[in-house]
Amino acid sequence: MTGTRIPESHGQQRRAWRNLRGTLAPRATLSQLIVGLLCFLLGLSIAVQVGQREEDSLQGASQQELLRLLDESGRHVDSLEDENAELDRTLASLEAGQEDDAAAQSAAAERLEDLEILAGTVPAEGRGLHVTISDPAGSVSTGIVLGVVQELRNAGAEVLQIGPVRVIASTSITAGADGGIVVDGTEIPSPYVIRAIGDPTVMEPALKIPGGAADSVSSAGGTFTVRAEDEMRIDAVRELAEPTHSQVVK
Amino acid sequence: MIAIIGLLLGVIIGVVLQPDVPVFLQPYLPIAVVAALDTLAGGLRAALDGAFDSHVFITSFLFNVLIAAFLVFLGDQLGVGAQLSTAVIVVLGIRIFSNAAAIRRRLLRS
Repeated sequence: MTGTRIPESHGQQRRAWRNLRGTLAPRATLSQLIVGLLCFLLGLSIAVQVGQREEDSLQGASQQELLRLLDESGRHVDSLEDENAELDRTLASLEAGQEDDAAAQSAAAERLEDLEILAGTVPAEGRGLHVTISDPAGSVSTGIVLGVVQELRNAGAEVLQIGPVRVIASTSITAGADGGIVVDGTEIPSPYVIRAIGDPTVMEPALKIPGGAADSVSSAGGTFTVRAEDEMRIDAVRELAEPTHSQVVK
Repeated sequence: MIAIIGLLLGVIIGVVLQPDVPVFLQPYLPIAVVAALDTLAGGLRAALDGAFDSHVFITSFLFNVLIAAFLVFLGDQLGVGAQLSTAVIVVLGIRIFSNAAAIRRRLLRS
């Protein structure tokens, strides 16, 4: 192989240098120009290729590398989608919890309204019955008035008012000193006006059954008038006493 | 001398203008560059031996570049593009090294 030949002397080495200079000496022949052109193209290619690789690392990547990158990004997308689904589930459960809270709150508000009406702390309205018992002779006893109230309650009266006093669970009806009645400490003179919210078509017959509340008022010497009203408003309210000794069992 | 000037001119123009490589050439350009470098080293060695022939240089330059590009193309078609590219690069690299060693021995023996 000629490539491994070693020049034996300085003479040969000098000849090598001379050959190089001779070859490199510019000669304007066509072949030399073509050689120059090829070298120009080579230089251009090197520079462009180097620039290209700096420009975009993906362009020079092999197929396997691109596949690996694609695979990696696919896996990344998968994991992100998993995370997304997880977050969606969390969001859904939180929203469901919020809806439950809202439902519980509206149920509690409804219950509060019911209890407020029962306890008599708020005004109430609805259709009902307007009962007037006039007792000019003072012969209608407390028991008879109480019987009327009981009959109204039995017939489904939800809110009751005697005179200016709202009737609640703890209401007492007692006899007054001068023949009137006393409702929860408030003396009410005749005629006694009882207003009841409830179904008048049920309450009115209940009062008027033979031998019932209406008959007992008449037989005691009073007059009993009853009037159904489509829109009755009961404005009398009670202050709620804070329980001092009892506590809610939890 | 014309060859060296051409080489420098090419590098300078390439760096300054940064032209885009056509897409169909992109896979072949790196291998073609290595093949051309191999031919250049061979030509330099021939020049030291006093046996440089422009015609031989031109034909071997063009042939090496074309064969290298064709091998890459063939490898891509056969599905072994990466391996064949590596093989061509290795062979050309060995040739460049042996040529460079010969050139060094002729010029720098002392």
